[in-house]
Amino acid sequence: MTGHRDPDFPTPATIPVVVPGDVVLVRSTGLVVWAGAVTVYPEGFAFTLRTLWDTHRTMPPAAWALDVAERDRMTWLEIRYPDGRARSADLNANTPHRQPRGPHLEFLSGEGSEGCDDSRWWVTPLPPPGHVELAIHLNGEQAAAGVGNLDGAALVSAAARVQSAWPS
Amino acid sequence: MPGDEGWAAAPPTWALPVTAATTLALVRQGGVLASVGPVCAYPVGFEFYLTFGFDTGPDAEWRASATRDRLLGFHARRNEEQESATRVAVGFAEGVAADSVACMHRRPRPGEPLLRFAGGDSVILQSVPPLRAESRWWVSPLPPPGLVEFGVFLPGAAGPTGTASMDAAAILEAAGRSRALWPAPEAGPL
Repeated sequence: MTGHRDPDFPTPATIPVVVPGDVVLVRSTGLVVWAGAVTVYPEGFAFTLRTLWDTHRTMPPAAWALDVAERDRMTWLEIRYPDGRARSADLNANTPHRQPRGPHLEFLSGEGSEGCDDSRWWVTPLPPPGHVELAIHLNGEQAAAGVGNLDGAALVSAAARVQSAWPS
Repeated sequence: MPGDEGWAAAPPTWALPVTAATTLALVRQGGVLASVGPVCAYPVGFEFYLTFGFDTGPDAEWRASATRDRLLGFHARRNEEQESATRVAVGFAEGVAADSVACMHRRPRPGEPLLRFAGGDSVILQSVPPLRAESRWWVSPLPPPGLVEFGVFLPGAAGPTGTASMDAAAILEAAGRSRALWPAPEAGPL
């Protein structure tokens, strides 16, 4: 925990610190899910999830689940901290107030095109050191289609280097 | 250039990006922040994240000159938008440069790189906090060795409001680690 409040979005007062460490969550025939472009703030971090598919031989995965009831047929993302705290994201049913210690996983923006789906996510608060597990469930599958790990220690270390230009 | 090998109109869907851990501060004055980072490289170009933040405090300096609700906006389709558009520029070491507003209205000239909005937030309105926008920009082809300069022009600014540069070597090194996943589809029109 950082001691900061945990806002719904990154604050405008800071220049984020970029952390290397791209991860591939899924790599199967004609389908890849990548997470990277990680930026760290005092209150949390953002990352991009990029899903690519070969349009000649693979159908695109289902769109993001809008609520828990859609998890039996749609796609959703889970994040798990080393201390056991976890969150499954749904675009309209992410309920931070029911889980005040987080993590809170928020959809920031997204774009799609033929063969590609990009989404940007905000996670708050920062994790403790250790593996931060990202898991993606495709097309309503109960078992994760793939898992990748971000380095929690690197995120915490980067947050210490962030400078704020004015008080939040 | 369009039609050349090593050039693409958008981030490729057939290769994974590789993130270069770069953070550049372009603007840090008057209650306005602008920064570039991360940069994600591909075999045929790179994408960079551009983040703007405005101080939401009642005494922030930028408020004295902000006459419109649109504090920041990259689109320049309508006449009013062309006057109030925020411009982004990228320059390569060999002296060529790309401008976001110019690239919106015409094809790149021979030798010019392409600079195109690739996603994220495209506008900040005073009336809709938080006053923050993170956008992504696509540049193609890859730069030659030397410095790559990023610049932003806030509305009404004759010169760049802020600039910063990085060594192209970091982009080229990351691009060298980007791998093709499957054959590229045939290129469409620009």
